Amino acid sequence: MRAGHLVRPRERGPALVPPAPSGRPGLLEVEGLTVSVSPPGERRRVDVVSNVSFNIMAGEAVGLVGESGSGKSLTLRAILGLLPAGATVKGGAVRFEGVDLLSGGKRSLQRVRGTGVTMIFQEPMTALNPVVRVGEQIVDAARRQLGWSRRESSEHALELARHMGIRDPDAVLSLYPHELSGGLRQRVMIAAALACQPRLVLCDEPTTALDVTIQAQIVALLARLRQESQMSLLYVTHDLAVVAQLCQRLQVMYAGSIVEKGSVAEIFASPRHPYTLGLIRATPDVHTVVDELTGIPGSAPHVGARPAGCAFHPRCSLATIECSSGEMPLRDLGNGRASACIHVDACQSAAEGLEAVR
Amino acid sequence: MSDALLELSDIRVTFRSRRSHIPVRAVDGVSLKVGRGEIVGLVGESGSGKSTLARVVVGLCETVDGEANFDGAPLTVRDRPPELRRRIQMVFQDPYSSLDPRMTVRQQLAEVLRVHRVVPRELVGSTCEDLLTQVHLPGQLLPARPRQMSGGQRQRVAIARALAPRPELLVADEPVSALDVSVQAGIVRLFAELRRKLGLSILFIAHDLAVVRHLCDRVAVMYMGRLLEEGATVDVFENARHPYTQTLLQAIPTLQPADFSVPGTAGTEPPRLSRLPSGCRFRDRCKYAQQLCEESEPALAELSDAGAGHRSACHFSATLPLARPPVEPARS
Repeated sequence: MRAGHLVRPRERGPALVPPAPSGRPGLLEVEGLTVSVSPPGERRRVDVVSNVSFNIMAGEAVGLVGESGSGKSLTLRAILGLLPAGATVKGGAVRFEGVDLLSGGKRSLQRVRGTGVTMIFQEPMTALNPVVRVGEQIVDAARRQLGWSRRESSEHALELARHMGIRDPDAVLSLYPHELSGGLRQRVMIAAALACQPRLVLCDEPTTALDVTIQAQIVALLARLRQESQMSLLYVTHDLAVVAQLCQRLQVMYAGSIVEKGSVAEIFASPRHPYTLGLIRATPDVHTVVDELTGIPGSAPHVGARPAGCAFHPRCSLATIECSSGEMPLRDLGNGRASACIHVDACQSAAEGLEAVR
Repeated sequence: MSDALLELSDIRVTFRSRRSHIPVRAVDGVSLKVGRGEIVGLVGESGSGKSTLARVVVGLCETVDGEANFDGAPLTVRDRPPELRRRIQMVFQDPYSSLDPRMTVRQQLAEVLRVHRVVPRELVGSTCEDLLTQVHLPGQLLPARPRQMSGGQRQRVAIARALAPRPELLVADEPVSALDVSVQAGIVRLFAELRRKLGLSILFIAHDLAVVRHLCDRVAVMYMGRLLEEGATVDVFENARHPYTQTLLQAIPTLQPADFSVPGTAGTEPPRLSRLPSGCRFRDRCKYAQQLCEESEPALAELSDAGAGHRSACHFSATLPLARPPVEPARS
């Protein structure tokens, strides 16, 4: 599979986004992001994303992993100003190429959407317009942002559809979203997100609802685009295996905070947070069989019921009395790694033999 | 006399498209056995007919041709006697929608116990508690309603409800797909334990092959309404002899960073059921397809040089490269 026009040097009109001031680290910088909501039936506000910081370099794919309710999707949505009603950004900064997206209002967001940052959602039906043919939707943003002509647009739409592995693209592009299967809708939406050749794509579990064969193709396409056209990815998922295939760096979220970050290879070889270790152990591998799959006891805390101290301590086998109170900030472990666990050494020994198991 | 609990032979389910009235075979001649105390995995992409087959077994599908036997007696679809219905129970994918949101756990379980007259009235209360213990939930959850529970707890309640009438066969349709991995492992272990303790037979439908590998004794791979490969789990996973099975296995990402490749042309979507290719229905996604595949549809046949009961529906099963084809790295 070739990525064709998607990897051609960018051709676009006058720059819509001011160039990044020199000396800035990273394409996207998120600093101390905090998002709050009201729990159902309550008036008080609680933080569902608290003090999340990270950055993404050009051409880098970063995974954001956690279970449902960990705040990973809200983090992603806050970046593009797409928080659902009731959720608000309480503090922090989000900078894309040096431009603050949180305080700049709608205008700064509109400037980066499409050509700068796009998003791929989990639910294609809510992201597509039900009364517009999908072929037009794929190139809608690109026509406006890049000034493609009608003919150019339909050619690009066809090419994008082919890259998505869509059979019979001519026929599919003239259909409406409700006439497509779930997998097709998803690929149409991904094509629309990639049409403007964005520099950063935010992915919110884009392949979770798809068959493995289609997932494999989409993951491979994203990997290729990253390599060939320096597109950056922030990939939110609960599937560690997809992250292993696609991302270079990984951050693990639990109950609204990042609990571990580092390179994918190092974290999978030797996780330094018991939650990460638990996730790795719980992920079944198709090529090897262990005697028993180990889950993590209990379940993630409800919104507004975050345990004191380390939020993971009620489910953690390494927890001691020190874990149940106080702040648990991310601590730097060197080499780009950090963990919020105060028992990093115990976790390291618990993770020994992980390779042997697999 | 076979020791199979469930025996399906040549099951066909035909739907008619609402607009064009073209008949569409969602299940097209499937034969499958589930032995006593056996867990059989049924895998395939969406649209392969695996859920339709599950609905046939529990009696939720009315337009069925073919023969189905349960414990030696014919498994009728219409007018299935209550006793037969009791013995086959189902667990659905989404515990958020399969439980009644207004009923407490006790009510959901007690209803089933009463309908099937499983225990005398005075024992209903204590039986509800026993059922929760069986799925490792505390008795305190009896007065809880679904919205007060986590996804994993809800699925355990759904399993307890399926166990209430003391079935012999459990049909589980994607029971862990909607759950987080940390919770998923616990539910998979629960199924294994129920088989061990109660001797349950389970027809386990999943698209996640890794889960199937950890749980099932045998696997059947379904594609566009037909079985393409079937055999002991270890044989199918380590010695896959149908190109489709090989494709599925290669498409699964693993935790080993970047050992991943695009599985040939099968990365394209499956054809429509109403427009199946001639001959082998997988041939237009198959990299080994030849003239013969266009002309005749291969039957699901026992392989002479593989594990016992290992069957594959490919003309070239005997000569297909066995090992996983070389892997092209997807990233630097």
